[in-house]
Amino acid sequence: MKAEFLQIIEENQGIIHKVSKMYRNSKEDQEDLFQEIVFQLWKAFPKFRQASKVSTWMYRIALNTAMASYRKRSISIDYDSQISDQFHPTENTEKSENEEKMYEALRRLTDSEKAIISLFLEDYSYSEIAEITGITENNVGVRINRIKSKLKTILNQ
Amino acid sequence: MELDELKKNWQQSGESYKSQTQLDRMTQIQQHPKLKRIRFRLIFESILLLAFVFTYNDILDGANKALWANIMLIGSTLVFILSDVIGYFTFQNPIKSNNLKLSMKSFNRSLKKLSLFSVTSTFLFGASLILFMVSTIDLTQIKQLILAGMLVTLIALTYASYKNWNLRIKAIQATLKDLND
Repeated sequence: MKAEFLQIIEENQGIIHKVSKMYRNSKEDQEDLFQEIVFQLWKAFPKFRQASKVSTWMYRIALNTAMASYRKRSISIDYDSQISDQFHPTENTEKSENEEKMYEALRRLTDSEKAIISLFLEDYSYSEIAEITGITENNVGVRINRIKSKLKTILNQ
Repeated sequence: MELDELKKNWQQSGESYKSQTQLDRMTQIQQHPKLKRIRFRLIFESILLLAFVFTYNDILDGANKALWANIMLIGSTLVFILSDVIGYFTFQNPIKSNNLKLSMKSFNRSLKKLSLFSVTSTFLFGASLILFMVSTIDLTQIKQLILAGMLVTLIALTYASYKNWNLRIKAIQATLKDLND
């Protein structure tokens, strides 16, 4: 069972990286959240019957862990963005800058907005988002429109 | 950056890589960053408090104190340790349901109960210790002042503990409210 679990997580670890990076500012906090998510996934794995997609199951656990896990608000320095020009090869600089800009914008949303928009950006349907978050399908549509405008404002600042 | 570009960036991000060995290590409870800190505190406090329970009789002259004061002190010490243990298991299991809203609702309920238990046990332990110490002494004016100081300190510590829990619960409630809107 462990081997199967590790295989699944290794192949889909991008989901955990994205959720950790969206919910936490500093590299250290992101690493901590990554570990917490893997631990919760392992605990939930025996109940995972493959009735849903692996990615859906992982998002569900990852978002839930990120939202329930409390961290004290602190001033953090994002070293990643400060050193990006020095350490990323030239061809990757633009991509890395865009990625940083995206995460900076996403981090300014509330925890539940982050959950909804991440599922939307991952191309989940409104009904799937409703099922994962527990809010109604209609409300998902309304919320996504609101978050989109909020993000547009943030990105155009 | 337009929203389409945002979507593309999102789907292409998360490229960092961790090996199966690293991931395997993360499945072990000993490696869990938050639980590690809670466990350390739990063990540290439990050792100190149990050592206190086994030695207080000699150090604080327990044999000469009232029986009720002895029972209260031992009882409140054990309740304090129990509250730490329940806290450890609560934070080990934050996921309570399949959807985020229900899960957060249930976690919020658990946190509220835990905070009440934790704050009460902190106050109870402090109050029992003070009552134990003053149970057989004559309260002179100086001693009364010292007792008042101890009570104020205990209330301040209990309030700090309450505020700390409240911050945590408020963060969860804000998320819940946001999910309900």
